[in-house]
Amino acid sequence: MEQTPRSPAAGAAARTVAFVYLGVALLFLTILDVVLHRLLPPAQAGNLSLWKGVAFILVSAGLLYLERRRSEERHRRLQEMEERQAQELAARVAERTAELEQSRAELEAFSYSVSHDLRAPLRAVEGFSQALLEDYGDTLDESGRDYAERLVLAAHNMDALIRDLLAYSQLSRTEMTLVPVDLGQVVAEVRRAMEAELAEKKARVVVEPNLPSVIAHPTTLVQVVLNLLRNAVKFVAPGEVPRVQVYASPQAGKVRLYVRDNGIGIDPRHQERVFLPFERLHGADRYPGTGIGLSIVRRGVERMGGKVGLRSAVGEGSRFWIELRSADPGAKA
Amino acid sequence: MSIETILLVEDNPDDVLLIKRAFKKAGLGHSLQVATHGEEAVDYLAGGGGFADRDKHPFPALVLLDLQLPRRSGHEVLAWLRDQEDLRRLPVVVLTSSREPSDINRAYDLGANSYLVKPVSFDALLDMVQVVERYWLALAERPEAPRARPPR
Repeated sequence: MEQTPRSPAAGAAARTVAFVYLGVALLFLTILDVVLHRLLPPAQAGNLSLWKGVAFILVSAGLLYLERRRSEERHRRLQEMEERQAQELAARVAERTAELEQSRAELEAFSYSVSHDLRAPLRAVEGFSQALLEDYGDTLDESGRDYAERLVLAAHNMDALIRDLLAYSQLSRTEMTLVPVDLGQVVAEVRRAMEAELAEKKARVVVEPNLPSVIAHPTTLVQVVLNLLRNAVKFVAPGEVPRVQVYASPQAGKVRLYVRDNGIGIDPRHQERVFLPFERLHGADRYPGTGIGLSIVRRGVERMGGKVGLRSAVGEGSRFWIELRSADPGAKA
Repeated sequence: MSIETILLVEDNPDDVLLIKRAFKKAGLGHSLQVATHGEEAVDYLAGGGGFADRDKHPFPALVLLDLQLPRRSGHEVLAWLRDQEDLRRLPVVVLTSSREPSDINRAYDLGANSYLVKPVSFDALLDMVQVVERYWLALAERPEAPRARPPR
């Protein structure tokens, strides 16, 4: 890659070239002078000084003009090359953008058909198994009813799986407009959404009053906190009542929201894996689920420019946190 | 309990059967009429084709409209309906599988009165049918039914 003529290095090179030219001109004239003095009688040689001066200026000017032309030509060629490269680059970027747009559209079409076309047969499986149980339950024997019940359960599980997968893929596609969001309101909304679930588990959820505000995408944040809370009340030892604490601490322009549970805890070896999609540390019979909840937490928070983490030990419960920008930059850390 | 007619526009026979069963369980089975594609829905509402007899095919008090339909999509049926001088106030509840924001927005833009996603669980469907009936046929004030059109 050549330097452009405008760069300081190129300027210095051009000056060097000019000096070399001047030197060459001077040398040429000196040689001419010596030769003429040898050839001509001394009386005529005395008149040469004026002509020598004129010739020196003309030769120097001519050489400088030629050099100038040459450097302009080089400059033009470089510019043309740069323009061509820029055009090629723009064309490549446009091509890649079109490709990406196409695969995004395909992904959208795919998840659309997942949400629509996969659910329709699922509704039939669930609905008709249910109908079988309700309308013909007394003519079925015990194992017949058991089979139908398993159909219903499997359909529910698959429904949850499709829902979580869609939510996860939508997190990547949704445009995130970040606005100030009151964490207190978010947690309240999540508790409302989980009311039945919390009551069924007799879970005790203690939320710190006056939670701060953060910069976030409201629906995504609700989804994130919902999955955090769901995770917190789910992994309790058999017979244990879930107890969850939700609190926040501001730190240097950021806010950390903590969700602490009294669950079975996570071995430090597995702590990174719990955020990966479909990673499950326990069999579906003990802790049923899709294995996507915490991936939604991480993907969602990362799309809002934040971080997630946890601290946990086996048998001592877990403390998950998410960190987002504070909506109140003036607040002291 | 109401004896108003509800028009269900739904092409999937499984869904038709399940929704019919939900209506029956909710004690509303007698009020349901079914159109299995968009054109049939338009014919029914306009009283054309085989639907001219309003004693057999009463004008509905409510339409439950699927979006993915053969011949004319639910969105097209909705657009057509809102364009009819005498029919356009008819309450329409979209009942579909799609949770896509583009489908939801478009349906409301075209004048849908509500948008519901068919649940997988039959019990949830039963709840939904009961809530829809209670809200749209018992609680909400409805627009005047159109006067009978002259036969075409």
